[in-house]
Amino acid sequence: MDNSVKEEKIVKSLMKHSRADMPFQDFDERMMDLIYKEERQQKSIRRDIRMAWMFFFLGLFLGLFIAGFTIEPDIFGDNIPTQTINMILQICIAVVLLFQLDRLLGFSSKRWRLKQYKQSS
Amino acid sequence: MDDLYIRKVLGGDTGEFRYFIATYKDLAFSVAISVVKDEFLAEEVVQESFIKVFNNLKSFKGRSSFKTWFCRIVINEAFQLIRKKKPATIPIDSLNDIETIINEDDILDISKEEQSFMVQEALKMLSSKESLVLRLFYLEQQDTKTIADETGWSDGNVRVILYRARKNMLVFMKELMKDKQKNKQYG
Repeated sequence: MDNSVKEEKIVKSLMKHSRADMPFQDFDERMMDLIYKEERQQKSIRRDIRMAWMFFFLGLFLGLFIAGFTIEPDIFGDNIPTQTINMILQICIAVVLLFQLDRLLGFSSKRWRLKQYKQSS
Repeated sequence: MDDLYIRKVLGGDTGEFRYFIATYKDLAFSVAISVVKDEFLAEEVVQESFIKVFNNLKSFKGRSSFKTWFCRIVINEAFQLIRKKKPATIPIDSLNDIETIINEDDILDISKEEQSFMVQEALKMLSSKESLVLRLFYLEQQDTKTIADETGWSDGNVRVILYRARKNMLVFMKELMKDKQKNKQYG
């Protein structure tokens, strides 16, 4: 018999004994627990992102409202014009909001990219 | 059958994911242990793979069978893990220097349990790629094209690995049988 055919036959015969089944009896239960945990985590992340966006817009409108309409003209006396105070406050709020918006967009896009990567790999 | 359960899980019935675990855990473990060579690491690979499957079930388009898609995930996870952990590899002597022909009668002489033990040991001694290809080809009865699809290697590469795997398997089996005979003589 040809050498390679004989080798093939022996290996084929040997490999019948190579089955390696999952040795851990409780694997199914533990795996399902992990799946439920993963599901909860994913839901929680999605909820957190929604909440983050909601509070961002809430803060944005509240900030603009406070800066725009609630400054009393005489609160700082006559030395500083009200328009200047308003402008300083609006710039501060805009900087904070832009900073927060950048982080929120970064986080959301990172998650989106990760999802795309997972789908492609 | 797989499609039905995919629809159920995607429809929100997470409990039905149990079907995939029950159906594919042994295949996944067999593939994972071929690569990582350790039961606990293999279990880790299988767990990660199932979680990945659960999270990406929506992206499964059915271009290949679920089994092929799942195998690809397990193989990727297993190779990622060994890249991280970098296990020690067993050097293989030059193949041509060792007479690899084993008398079939010698193999048939030993008991089934011993055969099984020695095959598992020999598979551990083989490289990850070789033992993976051997298991998929002989045990899962997949053709080289399917293996190439699952591993991302070329068909020609799979054939070369399979050829080397056969040779090396016999080398290691011969070594193990020699050790066994020595043990019998001295003990």
